[in-house]
Amino acid sequence: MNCQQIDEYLFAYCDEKLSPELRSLIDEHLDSCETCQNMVRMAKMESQILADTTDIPLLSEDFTSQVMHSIFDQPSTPAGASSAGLLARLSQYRLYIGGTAAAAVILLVLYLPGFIPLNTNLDSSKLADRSITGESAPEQVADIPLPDVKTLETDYGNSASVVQDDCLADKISTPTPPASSADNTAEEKQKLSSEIDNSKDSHTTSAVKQNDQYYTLTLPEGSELIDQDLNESELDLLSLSPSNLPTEYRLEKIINTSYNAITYVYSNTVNNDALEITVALAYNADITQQSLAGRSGEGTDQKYVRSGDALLNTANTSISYQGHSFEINLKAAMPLDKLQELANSIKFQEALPDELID
Amino acid sequence: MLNGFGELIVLTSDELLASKSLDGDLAAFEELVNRFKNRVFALVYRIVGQHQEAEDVTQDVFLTVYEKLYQYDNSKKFAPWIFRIATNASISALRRKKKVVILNFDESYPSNYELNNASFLTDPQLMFERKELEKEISAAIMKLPENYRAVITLRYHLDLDNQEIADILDINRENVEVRIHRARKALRKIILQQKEERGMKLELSAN
Repeated sequence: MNCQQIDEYLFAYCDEKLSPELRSLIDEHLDSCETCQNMVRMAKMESQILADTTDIPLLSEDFTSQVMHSIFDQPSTPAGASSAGLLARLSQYRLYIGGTAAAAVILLVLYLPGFIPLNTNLDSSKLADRSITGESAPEQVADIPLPDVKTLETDYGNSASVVQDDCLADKISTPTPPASSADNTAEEKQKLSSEIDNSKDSHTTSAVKQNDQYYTLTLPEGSELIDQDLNESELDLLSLSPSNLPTEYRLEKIINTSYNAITYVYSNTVNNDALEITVALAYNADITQQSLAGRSGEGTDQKYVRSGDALLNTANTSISYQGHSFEINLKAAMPLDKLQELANSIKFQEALPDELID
Repeated sequence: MLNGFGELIVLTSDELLASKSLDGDLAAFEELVNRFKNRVFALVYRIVGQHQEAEDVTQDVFLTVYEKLYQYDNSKKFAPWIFRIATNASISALRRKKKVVILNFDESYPSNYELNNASFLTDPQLMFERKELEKEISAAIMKLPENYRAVITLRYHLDLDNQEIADILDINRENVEVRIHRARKALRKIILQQKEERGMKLELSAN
């Protein structure tokens, strides 16, 4: 038995996992080798130290209450489907939208020729009819007049002041009808304008009524979560929720990553992989035109984000809706071709995500 | 009765608390947090290596546990399930940061220190040696690959059996022993390297 062999058996020897024969052979060597004696002594001490928790700092005293508060702050029920949990998630959703994304909502509404009232019972098949796809983008932009963006930019990012501005508030309550809706030939546009024509006279009231119903659905009793300054009917218009995703994807949370972007975090219930879909409003008119010119006809582009054990790929695409370009970014640890397929198949509907509709 | 982490052991099983939590019983969940926080934190801290970061990750672990409770299989033990979440959360937290975290030993956080081994305190030579080795190990452990850190913590800190460790790390039971052996070897190598480097520095400064 030499020192090298001892080294091979070191941990097994210390953990007393060796046969008596091997053990006595090692003992023999140890008697005459001080280096190996030290190795053994060190390994034994090591095991003790590794088992020792004395160097672990203490958790904050209020750790438990912090956790419990976070759970209250981010209500989501472990059961997932109970009605209380759904309400909580909806109001959470409302908060996210109503918070920092408010400016984007208002801007969008100012650009709108008119509301498209939602179906009263949020019937998903009808919502799917209104899904917005990238293909219809260029025509819509050409036809919809862009309002004075400079005025808006001054107040951009400060939702309260935008709304409280009387002039702007007028625009919100009486949206400008589309300038040339009669001239449209594009099929998509016709559908849009017919809907607008049908509802031109009554859509404001019906939308509001709609939203009354919506709020009784979404907000728990006595809740004061509603941002009073916000025109409530605008919420649905920003909610370009991803739809047409494979059924194994479950919406986990909605985060607004910046003041004009929302990230939908999905988990794959089969393999637990995460999928992030970020919808960002390209709010600047020039950028919008540019990116549309550059992108029209072009499908998606992808790039490689991170290397390592978990490959995170991204696929980008953009859609146009009511004269605005939205950048869509998909991020997931899945092969690029699969992700691209997913990016191409994804549709957006102006509604709450499927998962939030009971 | 207290377990090794100073946590109270009561008659209600973890599994029962988990299903109560799933039914919306927040007090039951709070109890689970109290029962597991120190063990989860120890595991996370060993992998992540920084106090504040570890505490944040630990908090995320409990939020994840709460959100994913419906996925927990009540017929299995709760502890391996939460340790699995904690291990994965810690490793992905490390990967997010994409940089090696070095333990800061000068941090004077209050610790769990207990006078649990009298011989090290009565024999000054042994105590000194052990203190030195403690420092060596603490420095070396963060240089290990994170899966080695995880397996060492699960075995030596949390005292889990091989089957539980296998479940947590998603490896074969037979491979647990192999991985522990490799982890210990790697740790050893790093400790010796550290000593060598210091020895060379000493020689240099002597010259």
